[in-house]
Amino acid sequence: MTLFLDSSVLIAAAASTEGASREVFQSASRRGWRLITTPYAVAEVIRNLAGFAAPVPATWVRLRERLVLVDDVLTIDKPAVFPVNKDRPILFSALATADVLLTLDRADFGRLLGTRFYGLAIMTPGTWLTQEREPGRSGAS
Amino acid sequence: MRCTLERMVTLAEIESAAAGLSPAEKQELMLFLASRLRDEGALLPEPRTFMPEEIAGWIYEDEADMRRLREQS
Repeated sequence: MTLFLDSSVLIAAAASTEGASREVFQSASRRGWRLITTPYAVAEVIRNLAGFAAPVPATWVRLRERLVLVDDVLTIDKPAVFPVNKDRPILFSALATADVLLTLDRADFGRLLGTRFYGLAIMTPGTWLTQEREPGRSGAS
Repeated sequence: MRCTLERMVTLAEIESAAAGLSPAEKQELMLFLASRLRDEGALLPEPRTFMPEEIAGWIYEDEADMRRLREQS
């Protein structure tokens, strides 16, 4: 199972040891989840973690090592029938490379949370972990 | 068709000609225009700068979700 982590999830994972985003990192290898993101999302993380005190930047460096970086995707050959603006690189890259897009960004993805975009499931890390705990769900593929 | 297109110089003329196309031709034209628009808009935007309150909200929700998960197990 390939999970695309957007910048909101990456920032939350770096900033807090107690959140579902960090738990996704901690469970990934055991559950067979492949964690991916793009250079665009990484650039957003670096820009937005600049104001955080230690140990958050160092934690981000360690988390970054567990991520597979895939190319940014800017266009798709399908119509998008809702406004996609600055979040477009995230959504289109996730669609091209992942099974699930994990995000906490309700400002940009609120309308899509809990839905699917051409088969790509979009949800929060907490929802993903809850879903994977349900009986009969393994998450690995 | 090529000669006809070469004579069209205004948007009104193009729209008028498009109105006369068959449904299949209109669909093909729409896909062509959508493709051109995508290509022209395919620039990577600047990485976003999020408000501290927005980031704090993400962390709060993320931790609350994890607490709920732990309570359920």
